Amino acid sequence: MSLAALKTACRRTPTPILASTQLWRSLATQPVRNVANREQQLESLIPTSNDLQAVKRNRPTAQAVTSHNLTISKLLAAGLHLGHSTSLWNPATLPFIFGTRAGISIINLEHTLVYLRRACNVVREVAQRGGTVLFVGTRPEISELTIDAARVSEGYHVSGKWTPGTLTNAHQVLGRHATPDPQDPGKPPKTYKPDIMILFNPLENDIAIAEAQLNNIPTIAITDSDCDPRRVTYPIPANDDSIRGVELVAKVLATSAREGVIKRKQLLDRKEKSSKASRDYRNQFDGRSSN
Amino acid sequence: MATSLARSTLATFSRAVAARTSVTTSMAAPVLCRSLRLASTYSAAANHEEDMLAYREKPDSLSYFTGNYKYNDLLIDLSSLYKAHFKPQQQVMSNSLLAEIEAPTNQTYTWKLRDKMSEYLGIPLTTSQWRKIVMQLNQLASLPKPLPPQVEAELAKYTRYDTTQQQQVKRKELDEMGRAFAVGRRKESSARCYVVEGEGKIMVNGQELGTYFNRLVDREEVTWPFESTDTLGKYNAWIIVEGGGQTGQAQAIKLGLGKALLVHDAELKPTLRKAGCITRDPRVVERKKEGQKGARAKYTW
Repeated sequence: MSLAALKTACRRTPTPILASTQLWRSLATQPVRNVANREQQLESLIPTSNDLQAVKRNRPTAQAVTSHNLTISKLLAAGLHLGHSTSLWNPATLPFIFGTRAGISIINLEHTLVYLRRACNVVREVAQRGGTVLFVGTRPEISELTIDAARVSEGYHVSGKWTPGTLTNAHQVLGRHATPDPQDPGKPPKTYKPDIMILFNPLENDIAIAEAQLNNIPTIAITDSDCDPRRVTYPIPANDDSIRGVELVAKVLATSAREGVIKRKQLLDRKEKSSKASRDYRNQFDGRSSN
Repeated sequence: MATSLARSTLATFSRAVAARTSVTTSMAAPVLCRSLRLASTYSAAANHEEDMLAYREKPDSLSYFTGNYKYNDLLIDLSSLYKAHFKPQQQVMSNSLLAEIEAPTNQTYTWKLRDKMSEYLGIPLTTSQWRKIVMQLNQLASLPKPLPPQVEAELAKYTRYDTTQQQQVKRKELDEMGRAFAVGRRKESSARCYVVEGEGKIMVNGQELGTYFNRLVDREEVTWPFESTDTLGKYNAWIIVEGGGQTGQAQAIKLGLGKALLVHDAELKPTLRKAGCITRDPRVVERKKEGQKGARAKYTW
């Protein structure tokens, strides 16, 4: 194979030049004759701009993290394994602790993965049945991601302070800002309750958990090594201090809820179409009988 | 007791049935009465799907469960508007000194006060809530100028009405003869000062400075605005002063000359301020109070 032919071959193929085994083999077989030829050979190794652009184009793009492509490495990268100081641990979290290192408890990410995926399944099914999903994240650092999660999943958020009595005194807390019924101003306004509550800082929201329990609302929460996981229905043993970690969990849960919402819409559309089809079928026969 | 319990359970059961029927009949009306649950036509799968896809009423606002959804929605809207128009590279450029010198921002925003703002929004606001809204508005106003039209429209809704009137403040100018006019006051004296470019002559009530003021201290007070700014021989001053005593009149002239000098050259302001020729001295004679000998002096017995 001549050098010129090699050059044109290299320029034609979109793969990176140095990785091409064909080129290496051909270069290895070609004997080095003189310096000038050698320089030309080396010159041909320099990739052209086209090749570089092709490499850039073919690079795999980053995929969004969903409950279907969760891995322990992703959880580790977000720092979800870092628990609190061993002196502050809650013994009820023992099943989820991998061990201790540098004075902190390390959370076993195998459990985190399993519990997170379970929580995602729950949220997906609730959303599919038209349930109200409420994201509660009251710390200022996580307020924005709580709102984003609510928006993505067509749910609701409490990102400031959880007003005590939101569920147990709903008539006063939620009803006072409701618009009165135009036909019947005296009637007390209708208040709504969530069907599932997701808490990102359960330790700071005792009241929210208590209210949910009083109203038989299932709760999902990120329980760190100092939080009792038995307080909530679906705990997710993970680090609640790392913003990246909480963001990962929030995004995964929100996308699951969104999947449920989309599935519901599809089912409703299908049902509407089938009912419409059956109606048209019946109308068809009615038309004939009238004739 | 038992009958009442039975009656209440029956009532709840019938209410539940009524609720179910009302829900199902609101959907596409079937030919058969599918809403009535009969044992002969009951099918677990069909009913499960119907229950799953039954219409469920939900609150409209994203922030419904915060208890103050209008206020929270407003904060979210303002912050998302800011994020939509915020670009980090552009922000760095606008912060450069050169950019500021080229396009000086003379648009100051005064926002509606708490009462007017809560009236406009229809939300009862506490002071801390109003402050949070104002913080968001200030953040929007800090975007690089010229502001996007969407942002301008949003900010215009919250500006105080009298801002437009305040912005039409007339800048003082020299008259057709090149004179700057200003008034200075101190205690009971008021001085009308005309300052014009000249050789450094000062006339007070038609007299020379030396003749009018006997004391050197008073004369120095009058010339202090020019002395502190190194403009002694550059301006002529014609002053009419009335009321009060010597020192009061001298200090009134000092204030008047300082203000007139600013009309000629606005860049002298920091110098004049440091020299004390801009501030109107508010001290006046304090009134005498009853039961006391004077303003402060009290009777010993």
